[in-house]
Amino acid sequence: MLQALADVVACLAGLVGLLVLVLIAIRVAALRRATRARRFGPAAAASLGTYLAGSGAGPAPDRPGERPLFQAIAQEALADLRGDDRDRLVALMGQLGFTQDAMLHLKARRTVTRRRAAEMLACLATPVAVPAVTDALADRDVLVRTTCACTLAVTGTDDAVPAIVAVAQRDAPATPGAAASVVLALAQNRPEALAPLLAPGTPAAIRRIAITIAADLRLAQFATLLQAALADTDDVAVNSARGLGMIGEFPAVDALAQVAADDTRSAPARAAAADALGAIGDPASLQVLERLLAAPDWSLQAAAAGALARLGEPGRTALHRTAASGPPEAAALAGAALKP
Amino acid sequence: MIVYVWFVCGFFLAFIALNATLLVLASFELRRYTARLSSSALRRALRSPLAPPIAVLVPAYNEASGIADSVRSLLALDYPRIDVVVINDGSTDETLPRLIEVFDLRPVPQPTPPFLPHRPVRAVYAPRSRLRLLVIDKENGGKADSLNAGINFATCPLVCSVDADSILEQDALGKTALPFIEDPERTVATGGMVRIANGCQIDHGRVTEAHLPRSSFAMFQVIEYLRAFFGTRAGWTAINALLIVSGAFGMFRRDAVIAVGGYRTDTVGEDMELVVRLHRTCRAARRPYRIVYVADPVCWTEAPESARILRRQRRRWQRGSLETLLFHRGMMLNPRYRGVGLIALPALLLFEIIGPVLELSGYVVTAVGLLLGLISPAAFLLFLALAVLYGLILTLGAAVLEEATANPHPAWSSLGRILIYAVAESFGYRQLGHLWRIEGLWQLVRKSEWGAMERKGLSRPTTSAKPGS
Repeated sequence: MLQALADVVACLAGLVGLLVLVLIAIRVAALRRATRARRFGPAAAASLGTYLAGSGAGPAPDRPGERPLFQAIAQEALADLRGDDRDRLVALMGQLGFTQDAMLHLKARRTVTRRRAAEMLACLATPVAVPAVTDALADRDVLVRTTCACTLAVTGTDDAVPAIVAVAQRDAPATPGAAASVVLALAQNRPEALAPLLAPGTPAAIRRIAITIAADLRLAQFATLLQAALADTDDVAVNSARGLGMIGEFPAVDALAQVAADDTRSAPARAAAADALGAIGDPASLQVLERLLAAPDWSLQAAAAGALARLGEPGRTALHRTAASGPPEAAALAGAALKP
Repeated sequence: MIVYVWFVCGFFLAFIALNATLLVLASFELRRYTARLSSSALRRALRSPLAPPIAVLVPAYNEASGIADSVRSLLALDYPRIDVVVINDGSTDETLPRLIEVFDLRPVPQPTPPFLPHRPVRAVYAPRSRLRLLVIDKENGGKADSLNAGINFATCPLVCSVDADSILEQDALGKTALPFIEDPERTVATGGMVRIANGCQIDHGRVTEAHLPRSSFAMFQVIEYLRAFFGTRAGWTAINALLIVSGAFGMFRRDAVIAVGGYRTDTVGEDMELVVRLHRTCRAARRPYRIVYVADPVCWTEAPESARILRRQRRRWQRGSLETLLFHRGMMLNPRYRGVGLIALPALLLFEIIGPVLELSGYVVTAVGLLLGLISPAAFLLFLALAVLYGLILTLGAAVLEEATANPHPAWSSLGRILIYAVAESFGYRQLGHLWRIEGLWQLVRKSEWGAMERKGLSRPTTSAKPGS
């Protein structure tokens, strides 16, 4: 028994030694990276700055360990640069072989390598990489394919849109955030491609995302589709109402008023509709909002009070009326809404 | 005696199995996390309109000395849409006048929303400028009560509770919000890493240089936090059974918190209780959800350096854990609650509540056994070595994970100190901690008062950054 215990202790002591060695190895590697960054970093950043300022030859990161560092610095810079400076840096990265490397790494076995390559190509956003990025839309890793779909939304032609939409649709149920980034890239670069995603009958997961993005980007060309989405589920209606309010869609007032007045809808949906009515500012919504001010739900009362305050004189008159003779909670909200 | 020995052996084996499993799960979880996160991906996510607005809730009781710096640094965090909501919990010092003076606040008519109950609000203040700041002045009711008031007044879909004397790193909000951006439907709560600020250089509410603390008590807590955050929480996240999101830095979906009734004000472990209640409600409703520990967004907090304050803190934590267990005893071993009911809560009971009692009683039994000649000195020494080495392996495993994820202390001397304290904690500190925990159990019937806390900017300890479970 004692011998067995002693053996276990010896094993654990060995494991402790092994862990200490691993710890030291990781730290040595980290320190080497830090030393490299200290040694080459400032020079690489300075030469890149000089090159972009047009007063120096392009940097040549050819010493061991210098390339990954230069790539990281360039990647950071690409995120902030615009216009000619950006184009020059993208061209430089191509000349130095980084673009080619990233396209090759997009076919690597290791997922992390492919993800980094996809990130790099997303930062470069160069048409040269379109074929490689298009191939990667079928990658087995969700981050690789959605990052590539985002890149393609920026650099690809209209022919690429169906493949991009397919990636977004595929990944929307399990990874809505990644799918949303694809839809966002599409909306920012090819807004017309959003139309089929917004249409009734599209799978709920992707439609919900598309409506959120159309609303956030205030894409007025989709106001009719957003209005149609008011009849959808309550969580979809919240976003479409918000979008209609931000767009200032006068023709949607009746539909919004209907949602706001509908007792069978959820409070967030009704409150969003009331907010939108306030944002649009059509006095025609006065009656609905005034009725809503007497609703039993506090969030509806608050939304109605806020909306009435934005309707101008008729809204203020209604608020004065409620503040003077309404139920206590509504009166307090009306009073607060009247103060600047 | 034989029954006791077998029970202790079984307990020890279960402890080894659970912690080894958690460590392995944590390594997978952290590997997955580091493989996903790149700075450009983070930047892209945070620039997108999908990044939800966050209300940072700062409950403050007698924080006059540091509140202005705290609010300034929170307003300057890297995140596109932040509202800072300070809840002055009936402070008796100059907290409110200081805020009014520094941020040029004026009273605003703001009726109190009725979503969560809390002590009456005396006034609401907003700045004359366009700063996204709201100050709620309310009657003293404790931290949980203040957070409920903050959640009521917040208008953002996400709320983040932050202790007034804690410091968030510049990108901490963004990294903590990332799971909400990636999976907005399922993610209900996230928590970041809490690190100990003692010894760090702090300038205007920012940690400018990270150092390990000089105080031994604080160093021991560094080891505890390391093990708890990297070795344990990441592992629990992998099976969606994380029981605690630190009160010092936790992010929640506001509608989810309101739906479960907000923070309970009748417990000292309100942060753990809320998380367990979220698990309970989501599981009961069969709703898919995630509660996530994110490894590298950092919140720096002051750790107690005196035995007196540390003792008080540990007693509170222990009471909080037991209260949570009692409130949710129906979840225990209930398969409906999956990992939470079948593993996490029984582990909490066994290793956090019963464990200290068992270990201290073990010392007594061993001493008696040695004196009576029932245990040979060789067996005693081997068992002691086993316990110390296993504790060391857990700490080193967590240290390896930290080293591979994000290590703010890159100096060799820091590694040396961590190794020394990892060994030393088994000889005195751990036993003391267990003693305080047992005291906490005895104190369960007594209730604590928020007002009794001594806080003085970053020179005093915080009480809510529980690293355990």
